[in-house]
Amino acid sequence: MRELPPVPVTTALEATPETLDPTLVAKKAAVVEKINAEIVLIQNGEQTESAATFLGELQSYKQKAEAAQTIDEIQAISKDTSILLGHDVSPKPQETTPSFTKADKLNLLKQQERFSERKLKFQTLFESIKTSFTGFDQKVEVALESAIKSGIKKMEAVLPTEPLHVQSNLTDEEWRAAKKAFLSNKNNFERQLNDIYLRSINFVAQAIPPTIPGRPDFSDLDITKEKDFVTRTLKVLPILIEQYNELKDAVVPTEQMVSELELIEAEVNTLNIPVPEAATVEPPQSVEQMKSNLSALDEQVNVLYDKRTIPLYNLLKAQGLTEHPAVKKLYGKDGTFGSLISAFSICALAKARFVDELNKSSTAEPSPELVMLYQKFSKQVAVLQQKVEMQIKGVLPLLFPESAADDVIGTGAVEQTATEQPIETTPTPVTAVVTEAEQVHKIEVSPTTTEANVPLPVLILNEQVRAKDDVPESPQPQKLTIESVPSAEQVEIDADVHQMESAITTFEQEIQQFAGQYTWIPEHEVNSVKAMIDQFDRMLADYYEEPTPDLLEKLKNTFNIIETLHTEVKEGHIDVFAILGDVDTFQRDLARLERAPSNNPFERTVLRSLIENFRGLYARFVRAEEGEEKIMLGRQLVKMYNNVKQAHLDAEASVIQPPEVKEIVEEVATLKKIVDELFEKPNLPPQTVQLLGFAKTEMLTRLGLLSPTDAEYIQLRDKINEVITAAQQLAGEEVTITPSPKVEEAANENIAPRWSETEKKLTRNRALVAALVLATVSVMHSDRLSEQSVNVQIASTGPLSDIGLDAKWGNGEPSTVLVPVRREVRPNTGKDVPEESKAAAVTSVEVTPEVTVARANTADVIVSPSGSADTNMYEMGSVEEADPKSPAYQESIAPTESVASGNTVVEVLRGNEATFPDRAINPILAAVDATGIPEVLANKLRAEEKEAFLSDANRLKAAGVGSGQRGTTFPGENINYSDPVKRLEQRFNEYRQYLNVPHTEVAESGDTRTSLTLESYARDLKLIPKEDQLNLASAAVEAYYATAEGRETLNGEDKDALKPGAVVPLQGVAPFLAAEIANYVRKTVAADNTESSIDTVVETDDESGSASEVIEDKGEPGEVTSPEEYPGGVLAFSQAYNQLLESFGIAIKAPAMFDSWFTVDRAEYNNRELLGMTVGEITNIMMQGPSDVMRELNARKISPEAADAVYQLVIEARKNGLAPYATDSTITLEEVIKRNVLARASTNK
Amino acid sequence: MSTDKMNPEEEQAFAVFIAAVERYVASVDEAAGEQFEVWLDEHAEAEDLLPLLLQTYPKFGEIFADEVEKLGAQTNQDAPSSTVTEEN
Repeated sequence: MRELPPVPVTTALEATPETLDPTLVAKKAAVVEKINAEIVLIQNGEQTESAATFLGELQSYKQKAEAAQTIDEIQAISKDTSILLGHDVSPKPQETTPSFTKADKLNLLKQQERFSERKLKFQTLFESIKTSFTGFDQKVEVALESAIKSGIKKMEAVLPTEPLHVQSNLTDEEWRAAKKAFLSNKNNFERQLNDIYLRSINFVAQAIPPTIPGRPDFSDLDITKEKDFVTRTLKVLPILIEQYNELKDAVVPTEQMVSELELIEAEVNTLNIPVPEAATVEPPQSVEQMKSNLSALDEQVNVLYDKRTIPLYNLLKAQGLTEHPAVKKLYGKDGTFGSLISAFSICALAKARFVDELNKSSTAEPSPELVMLYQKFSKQVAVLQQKVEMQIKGVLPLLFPESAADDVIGTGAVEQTATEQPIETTPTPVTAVVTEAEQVHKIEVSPTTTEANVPLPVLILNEQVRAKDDVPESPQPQKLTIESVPSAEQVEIDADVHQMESAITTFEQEIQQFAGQYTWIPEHEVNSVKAMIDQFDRMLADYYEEPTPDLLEKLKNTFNIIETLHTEVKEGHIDVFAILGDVDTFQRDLARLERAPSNNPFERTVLRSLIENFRGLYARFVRAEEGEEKIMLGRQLVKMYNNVKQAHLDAEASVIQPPEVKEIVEEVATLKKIVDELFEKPNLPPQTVQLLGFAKTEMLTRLGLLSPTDAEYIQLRDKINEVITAAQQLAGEEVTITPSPKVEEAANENIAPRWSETEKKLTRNRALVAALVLATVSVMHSDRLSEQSVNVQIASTGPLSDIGLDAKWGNGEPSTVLVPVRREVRPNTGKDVPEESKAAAVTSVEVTPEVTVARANTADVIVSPSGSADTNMYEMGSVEEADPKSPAYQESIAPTESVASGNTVVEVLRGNEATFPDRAINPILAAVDATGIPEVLANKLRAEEKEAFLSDANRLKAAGVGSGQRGTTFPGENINYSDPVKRLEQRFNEYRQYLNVPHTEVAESGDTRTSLTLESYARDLKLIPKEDQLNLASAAVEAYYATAEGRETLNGEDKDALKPGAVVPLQGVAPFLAAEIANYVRKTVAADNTESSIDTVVETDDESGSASEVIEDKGEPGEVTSPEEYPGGVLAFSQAYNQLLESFGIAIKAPAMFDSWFTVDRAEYNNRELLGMTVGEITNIMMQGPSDVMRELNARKISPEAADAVYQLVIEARKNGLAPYATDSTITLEEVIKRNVLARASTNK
Repeated sequence: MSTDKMNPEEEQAFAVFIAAVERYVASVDEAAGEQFEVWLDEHAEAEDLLPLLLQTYPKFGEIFADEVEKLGAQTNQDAPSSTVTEEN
C-alpha cells in the first residue's frame, strides 16, 4: 500500500470567479463540495492502491467541475461524478436492483485486492499442506489429495481473474457484474478453504487415540497400524497447526475456525496418551473369545448410548429443542425413536443374530456363519459410533447458533465431512468450563484439577458431557436392548429412509453451492425446492416420532418431487469458473496429447476444435444480454463443455501407452547391475573403468528418464551395451549377444505375432530366400557356385612331338586336366582393361605325370630323397600341394616323380617325356614361391608364363633350345628355365603388390570385371576343405548384403532374372562369400608360410596405411627398423600389423582388391580414423572428461574401447621411446603402431 | 506356407530355414520363443534378415548351420557328388 498523495480541498468560491452566473456558481460549489467530501472520506479510509486510483479520478472530476463554464457542463460533470460515486442517475432498470453505491465500489475494490493476495498465499499453503500429509494413512491421504486437487483446480479457475481497476467509464451494471464475478471467485475460494479445513479437522480427530473401554476388543482394526498412524499424526500435527495459523491469517477467521483451532492446539498439547496396550489385533479364533468380545462390544454400545446420545438429548431438552425438526429427526418423540435411535436398533438386531448363533454353537471353534455374524455385528457397532458422532455434530448448531450461523462454514459441510470421515475422539482429562455464548456451564468431568475454558461442542465431541443438575433428568430416550429388537423389515425401511435423508442432505449442499453461479432458474424455483426440503424434514421428524406407512409413502413422494425439481435446478446452474478451469486443463492436456503417440490422432483434432468452439461460445455468452439469448447460450455452453469433456476422454484413450514403467526400470536396473559387477573386475584398464563410470552416472541416469519408445532411449541403451560388451571382453568374460527384447516387446505389445503372416512375409523376402539358397547350395552343389567359369578346360595348345628327330614332347596327345583358372581382374580405375586380361578366359596347362626338374633356389620346396642313384630325384610338394584338395596339382606331381635339384636347367633325355620342355617347366614353375598369391591366380600365372615362354623363339634360344622353334628340341640339350622362373617371380611380386594395395573404387554396375571376380572367387570355394565350407558359407551369409544391382534385381518383378542358386542370387551374395573365402585362403596361406621368406618385396607408395610402408629410422644393428627387415618379410610384418590393428578393434584394410571392392562397412565404427590421428590429438582427447571423450570419439566414429586400447599403447610407447611425450607431436598413431610391431620383432631377435 | 512362387531349390532352402526356426523356438522357453517370433515378424521383410538374425540370435545360427549340414549330408548320401566337367 502506498501513501495517498495530498489532495487540496478547495471550495468552489476559491476556484470560481464571482462574475459567473450565481446558479452556475452554486451548482459548481455543490459538486465540488460533494467531491471534496468524498476525497476526505477516502483519505481517512484505508489507503490502498485502488483508493489512490479512485482518488485520482475524483480529483479529475473536481478540476473539471471547477473549470466548468456553463450550467450544462456542470450538470454533466455532476452526473458523471454521481456515476463514479455510485449515485446512479440513470433510470433504474429494475426495482429490485439496488444502486451500486460508492461504498460498494470501494468495498469491492478493497476486498478484491485483499483477496488477490490471499489467493496466492492460499495456493502456497495448499501445496504445503498437501506435502505435510504425504505418507499418511491411505484413506486420509486419498481424501486430502482429492480435496486438494479439487481445490487447486478451482483455484486455477479463480486465479487468472485480474483485479478490477477503477475506470470512470464503468456503468453501474458493469460494477455489478464485476462484483458478481468477484463474489463467485471468493465463494469458490472460501468453499475450498472450508473444505480442506473441515477435512483436516477430521484428520486431527482421527488421530486421537481411542480410549473407549473395551473398544480394542471388538474392533477389527489393526492396532499396530493404528499406533503407527497415531504416532505419525502426532508428528504432523504441529505442522498442521502452523498451516492453520497461516490460513487463519489469510482469511477472515470465523469464530468456529478459531475455536476449532484452539481445540486442535489443546489436543496436541495433551496428545501424549499412549495407545492402549490391551488391544486384541487377532480376530476371534474361538467361541470363548467371541463371548468375551461380545461383552466388550456391548460395553461399547452402552458407552455410545449412555455417555453420548443421552447427555446430548438431555442438553437439547434443557434448551427446549426437543420439538425442533432436526432433534425430532434424531430422537423421535420423547427420545424413543428417530434416526439415531434407529441406528441403535439396527445394531441391536445384528447383535441378536450373532448372539442367537453364538448360543447355538457347541464347538470351541466358531463356524463360518458365526464368524460372519460376528463381523457384521462388529461392523454395525463401528457404524453406530460413526453415526452417533455425525448426528451429534448435526445438532450442535442448534445448541450454539453463533458458531453455526457462520457465513462461511455451514452445518451441511460439517455433516458432509462427518459422513466421510468417522470421528473417534478421546476424553480429555480436564475439568472444563463450557462457554455457550454468554452462558457458562461448569461441568465436572474428571477427577483432575486442571481447569480450562473449552467450548461445549468440544466437550460433546470428547464425551465429557455429563448430566448436570440444571439439566432435566427425564424423560430420557428409551434405551434399546436386545429384548426390544426391531424387525428386519423395519430395518430395511429405516435404511431406505436414511438413504433419502442422505440424498436430501446432498441436495442441500448443492443448493448452497449454487450461490454465485450463473443461472436462468428463477429464484422462486430454488426457494420452492428449499421449501420442499423443509417439508421433507418435518415429515421425517414426524416419521421418526411415529413411523406409519402413510407417512413413509408421503416421504417417498416428497423425496421424488424434490429429486426432480433439484435436478432441474441443478441443470439450470452453470459453475462457469469450474467449467473454464476444466477447459483450461483440457487445453493443457491437449499439448501433451499431441506429443504422445496415438492410434487415432483425429481425436486430438476434434478436441482442439471443440475447445475453440467452446471459447467462442463462451465469449458470446459473456457478451450476451440477460435474457433468452443468454440462457440459450448458457445451455449451449454446458453442452459444448460436455462435448469437450468427452473429446478429452477420447483423446486420452487414443494415446498409445508406453510399456510398463516397471519394465523400463527393470531394464535400467539390469544394466546398472551389470555395470556394477564390471566395476569389481580387477583387470580393467582405467579408461574402461572411466567409461563404465560414465555409463553408470550419466548414461544410465539419462536412460531412466527416457521412454523406451524414444529413439534416444534405443541409441543410449545400445551405447551402454557397447560399453558393457567392451568391458566384458577386457575383463575376460564370455560375451553373449543378447537380443534387445524390451523395445521390441514394447513396440509390439499390442501386436500378437501371427506366425502364418510372418511366414508369408519371409517367403516374399527374396533376399532372404536367395541367401538361404546360397547357404544350402554351398554345401550341396558347390560346383554350381560359379557357373560362368567352372571347370575351364586346360589343355596344351599343341604337341611338341615333332621337335627334333627323336624327341617328342609327350605322346602327341595333350594331357588335359581341369585346372581352375582365375581370370585376371583389376580394380575399377576407369582405365581400360588390357585385352589380354579380357581374353584370358581359356588358358592351357599341360601336365605330365612325371617331371624331372633340376632345381635351384627353391627354398619352399619340400624335398626328400627318393632313392634314385644317378639323378637327384625328389618327391616334391609345393605349398599348394599341402592342400590335398587342390585339384591343380593332385595329378601334376605324382608321388614317384623325380626332380633334378640344384638348378633350373633340365636336360632333355631321350625316352623321358618328363624332360621335354612343355612338361619339365611345370615343376620348375610350380616351385616358384607363390606366397600371398591365391592359388587359382598362381596357377593362371604359371600357365601364362609357360605359354609365353614356349611361344617365344628368342627366349627358347636363350634358354638353350637349339632351333628356337617350338617342338624342335633334342636330347642332350640343357634348357635353362631361369628366365620363365624369374618372370614368374616378377609377376607374382607384381600381384603381391597389387593385392596389397587398397582399392577403394567400387565396381560399376554391370561391369564385366565384377562378374569375373565373382566367378573367380566362387571357384575358391572349391579349394576349401568341405568341412570348412559350411562355416565359410555361414560367415558369408552373415555378412550378406546385396550390391545395389543385386538388390534391385532381387526386389524386381522380373522373376526370370532371378535364378535362385544360379547367377542372380550369387551376384548379391557371392561377393561376401568371396570375401570370406579369400580371407580364409589368405589366412591359410599365411599360416602355412610363416617359415617362408619373401625374396622380393615391392615397396609401394600407398599413402593410407598399406602394410609395406617403410619406417625410415635406422636403428641399432639387429634392430628391426623397416618392414623389409621384419622376420618373414613385408607380408609377415603386414600380418603382424593387421593382427595388432584387429586387437585394437581397428578394421584392417582389405587384404585384396576383391575384398575392397565388396567390403561393406558393416561396423558402425571401423575406428580407422584413429590411424590418422596424431599422438597429441589422442592424448588431448583422452585427457578430457568422459562426456567430452565420448563426444569427440563419436564425432570421429571411433569406439571408446578402441581409442582406449590405442591410447594405452601410446602410453607404453612413450615409455619405450617409440612415441614422443609432446602433445603437439605430429606423429600419427599408425606410425606408433608400426613402430611397436617392429620393436616387438627386435625384442624377439 | 505360401511357396507357390518358389522353385524347388528355394523351397528346399526355405524348408531348412523353417526347420531351424522351429527347432530354435522349441529349444528356448515360451517367452523367449514368442519374443523370437515377434522379432522375426518385425524384421521379416528386412533385406539383411539372415545376417541380422544370425548376429542377434547366435544360437539360432548354430541350429541353422546344423540344419544346412544335415541337408548337405543327406544330399550326398542320396546322390554322391561327382566332378562335373564341361568342355569349352
